[in-house]
Amino acid sequence: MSQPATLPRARNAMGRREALSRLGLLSTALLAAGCTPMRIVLRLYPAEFDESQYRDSILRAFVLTVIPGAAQSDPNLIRALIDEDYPLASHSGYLASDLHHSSRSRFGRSFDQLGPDQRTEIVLQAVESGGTTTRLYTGAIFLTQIAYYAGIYDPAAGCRLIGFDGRYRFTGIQATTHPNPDRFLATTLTTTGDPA
Amino acid sequence: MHSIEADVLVIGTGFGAAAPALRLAEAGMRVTAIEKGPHIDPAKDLQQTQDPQYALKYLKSMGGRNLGLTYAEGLGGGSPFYEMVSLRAPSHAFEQTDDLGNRLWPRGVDRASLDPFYDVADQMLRVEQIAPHHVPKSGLVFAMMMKNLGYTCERARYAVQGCFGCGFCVTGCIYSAKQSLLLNYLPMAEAAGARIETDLEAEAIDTLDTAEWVQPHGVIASLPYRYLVRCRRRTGSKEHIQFRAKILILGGGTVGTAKLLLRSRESLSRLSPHVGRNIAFNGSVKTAGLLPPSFPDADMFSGRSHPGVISYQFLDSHGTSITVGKPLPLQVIASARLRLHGDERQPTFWGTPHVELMKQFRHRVIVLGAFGMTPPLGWMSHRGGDRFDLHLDGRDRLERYYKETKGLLHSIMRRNGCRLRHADFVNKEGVPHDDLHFSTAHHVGSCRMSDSKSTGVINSMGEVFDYPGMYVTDGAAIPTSLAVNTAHTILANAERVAVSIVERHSVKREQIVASQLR
Ligand SMILES: Cc1cc2nc3c(=O)[nH]c(=O)nc-3n(C[C@H](O)[C@H](O)[C@H](O)COP(=O)(O)OP(=O)(O)OC[C@H]3O[C@@H](n4cnc5c(N)ncnc54)[C@H](O)[C@@H]3O)c2cc1C
Repeated sequence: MSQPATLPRARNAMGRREALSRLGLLSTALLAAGCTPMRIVLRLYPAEFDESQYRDSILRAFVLTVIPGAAQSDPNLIRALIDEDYPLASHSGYLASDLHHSSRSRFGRSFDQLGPDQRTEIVLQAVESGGTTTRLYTGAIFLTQIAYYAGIYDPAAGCRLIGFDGRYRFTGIQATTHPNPDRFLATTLTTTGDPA
Repeated sequence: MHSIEADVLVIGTGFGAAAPALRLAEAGMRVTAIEKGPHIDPAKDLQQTQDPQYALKYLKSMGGRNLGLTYAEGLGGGSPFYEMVSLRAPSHAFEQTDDLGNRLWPRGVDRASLDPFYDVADQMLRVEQIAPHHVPKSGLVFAMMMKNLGYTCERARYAVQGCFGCGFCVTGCIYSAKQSLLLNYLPMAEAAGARIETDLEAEAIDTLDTAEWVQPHGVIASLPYRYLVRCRRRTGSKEHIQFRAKILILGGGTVGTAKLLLRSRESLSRLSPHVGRNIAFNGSVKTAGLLPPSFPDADMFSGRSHPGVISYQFLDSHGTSITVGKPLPLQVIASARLRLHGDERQPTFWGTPHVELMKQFRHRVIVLGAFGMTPPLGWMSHRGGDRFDLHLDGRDRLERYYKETKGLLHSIMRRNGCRLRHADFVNKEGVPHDDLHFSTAHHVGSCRMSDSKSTGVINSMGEVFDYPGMYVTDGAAIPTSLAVNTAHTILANAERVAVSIVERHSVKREQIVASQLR
């Protein structure tokens, strides 16, 4: 991945090493330090990417790249990526910085100003680059998909894009089945449903 | 340290623990049951949500390179979160043998001997075969696929009353339609005098000096205190509590019980070397496809979580049962990267191609799953402290089984005109497993029952070899894969062992069976 153009305020390298070691998304899986490319562990990135305006617009563009068609107006669009309850939060500044600098060096524009194909190209390249970068992007894609499709921040809303209604609203049992079910059912081996 | 005496200490509150807790309390024994997970009040604590934080509060996992086990920790064990499928294991499952041709189940334990206890379990959990007009759409579509090929298919049996198919069985039934143990065994045990404590974990077992290593017969009052169980509160002050018990029932589940015994191995030096070994995992194989236009819609998100039907067509020939899966969005994304066979577009598991597939997921995707009688080749090792590893032997055999079973499922799909979907099953970080991998919630056998200590951990009556008065009554006791869901067999076996314990301590068996059926 590309290097940041400037390094306004440096991050603490040990802090980043600790943060990266908590990359395991839904577990506390450890990232063996020996497997972590030094360029990532030691890379310093501009702290401006921990600040909301830059970071958030790039992360929004990232979510819309992973899930084209996601509702741009969704207030929870990037929440999982910056939610302290998930381990991506400590990497979201770095993720935004990496997206920004990759797209700058490749297309001369910030990630959030690119068209869908260019954004896809940037993310695809990162996913396929191997090592910790692949893990970071794979983890970010995984969390983005879980959060959006499962509607984790609004159980009542679900996810309109895939027709998931979220929390149940009474529709009655007949809405869950087809009429005249016997026409579907095959011959049976048992009378009770239990195997012999 | 706080110290408590009990006639009977039951560890866990799941299917294997709840039956002995109730029956021994009914027989007049002073019973305490301890549960490491939190208390659950269905009306207050259960939620219809897909929030991973909620799921992870109760659902835990143990993973190895080739095997992943999922189980619940909380009052009622797996029962608040299970899919309510309550099936008897096929007779065939009890006749499985090891490589030398020796039967894996101990003498005298088979389907016929368990049937009276399945009857009791059916009655306690109000198990019924699903009515045709309650079968969810995905189940009907699966039945149609089997019918098209001239295969048989059954309406399955469930522990549920008054279900209207909200689709959230696996996050816990907020309507109390699901007959989890929170509605029957556990409150009945408390009513019979049992004490149930949550957020309390048994950490180690020791024997007491007074223990006489003879078979404990006679009324409970005459028995010595034999076991000391050190426990720790998991909340608040994290206080240590120790129990002295005459009878110890291990019902912590296939994983929990094995961990506890492995941690206690130094003080329980006569334990069989089979503790933690012989884990059977019900050979779970899944595959997905896109329905052809000639089929009506399925529905992943409505109707009970288990789709109502199961086929035993291949039970005799392949040792497998087949059914359909109905994963909610969290479950599907957290378990697999899906893409269409032959779709060469990039990117494969995100972006436009993936969104197109996800849009069809609810109504046009069908997920077939098989449970098979795979041999008990999993095992757990203890590295010290709270660190355990999970392993799977017999890779070649299992690869063959996996390929054959997947081939069978693909063939059912193809012959129905489905377009296959490729599913890369992923780990907790969303990365595909790079090797053969089985994941299951139907693991059994880590402390299996057997005819001898040289092949198992407990005898046919559930008692730990060389540790009189210590019993294993949960999934850990079950020696083989069942090719159907496990909970009902665990419960029936626990009822069977409970009767024998009560019988030993001077209460007539007929009275107990009669009281169970009352
Ligand atoms: C999502 C899901 C759906 C399922 N659906 C079905 C289904 O539809 N039908 C079916 O037959 N099976 C189903 N199963 C499997 C079924 O739930 C298990 O087979 C069953 O719960 C196992 O029973 P058990 O008594 O062995 O252990 P569990 O039910 O797992 O209970 C063990 C309990 O012991 C506690 N414990 C463990 N160690 C300790 C300790 N040291 N101290 C104190 N407490 C301890 C645990 O917290 C747990 O609550 C499902 C499982 C899952 C996860």
